Amino acid sequence: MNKSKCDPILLSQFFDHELEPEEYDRVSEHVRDCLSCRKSLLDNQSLSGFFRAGLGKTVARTRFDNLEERVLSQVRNRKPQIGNWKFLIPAAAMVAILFLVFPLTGPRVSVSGPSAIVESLTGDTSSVMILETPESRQTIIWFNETLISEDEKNEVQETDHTSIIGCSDRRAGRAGPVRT
Amino acid sequence: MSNKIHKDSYDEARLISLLKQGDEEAFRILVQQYQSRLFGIAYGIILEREESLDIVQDVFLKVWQKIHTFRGDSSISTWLRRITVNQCLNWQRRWKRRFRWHHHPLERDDAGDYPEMGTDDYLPETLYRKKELEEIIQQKLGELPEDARAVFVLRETEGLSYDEIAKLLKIKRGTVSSRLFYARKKLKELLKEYVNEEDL
Repeated sequence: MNKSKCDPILLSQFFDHELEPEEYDRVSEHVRDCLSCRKSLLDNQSLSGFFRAGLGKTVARTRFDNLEERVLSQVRNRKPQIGNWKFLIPAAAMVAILFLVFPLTGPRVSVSGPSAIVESLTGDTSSVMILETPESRQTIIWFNETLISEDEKNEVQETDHTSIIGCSDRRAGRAGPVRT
Repeated sequence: MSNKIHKDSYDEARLISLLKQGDEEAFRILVQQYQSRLFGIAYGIILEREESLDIVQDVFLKVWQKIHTFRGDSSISTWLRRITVNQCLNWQRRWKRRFRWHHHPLERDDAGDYPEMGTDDYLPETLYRKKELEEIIQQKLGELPEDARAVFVLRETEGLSYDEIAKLLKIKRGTVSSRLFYARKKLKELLKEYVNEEDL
């Protein structure tokens, strides 16, 4: 930029202090003698001043209490549950271990109760009832030595579990007394 | 030793460390420290008060969720500024797809700064004129293309250098210069009919 030629882009950079020192000095010299460039710089300054003042007032009028609370409440909802994870991970590991260990080492137990009477026999002094579970194919034989009335029979069915004398697990191929 | 952080003894490294541990009090300090500043940037670009508040809220939530990715290559204020500008530009792109951009006049109230006694600035006509111009400038800012507006706002509100703006917006330094020049030129043109010779 020389004394006779105005460069508005260079002038804008001059206004923003974005020129190298040498160039800055040259533009500065030009501006001293150029009325239109001086006017343009003053316009830029006013524009900046009015914009900043207007924005400053808008910011000052804005209430941020709400914002702070809104942000914090959302953060609480999204807070990483570090404490819970610390508990959940070992708990899950423990459950997995229990599942792995007990089916291998623990006693095998029947998993389902009898669902149907396969057969029943009633004599003068004794009665026999054979039950079988549908999926595990376990058989329960219920033997009763004394003949009792229907009411008493129901009562016995509810309370006298000692009369169960045996069962067999056909799938596993083993037999023995089991309490239901 | 207490793990708590106090606003008075603000230390960025410690604040970031506490934020990474999920410390809510540290987060509260971060919000208090930066909310008005980020709102200023967002409002300068968006020119809508409620939307700008929503954007600032989103920025803080993003910070909370992504703080573990902050490596500290730049200051936290630079990081916050970058997220804010990106949120604003994304917001505008989203809206532009749906509606043509219109900016409505700002809300008017009697709040404001009071000039020094005994100067011409105290004259009621001058006061009124100043206030009117401040509002008109913000209205006219909405008529600028968003890329030029973002550059203008970052320069004016944050006082960023051309290089800083270029890095933030991922554009060339020369582009920053030309957008800034264009923004000022366009604003002056848009304001011509509203201003007297002595205003601008």
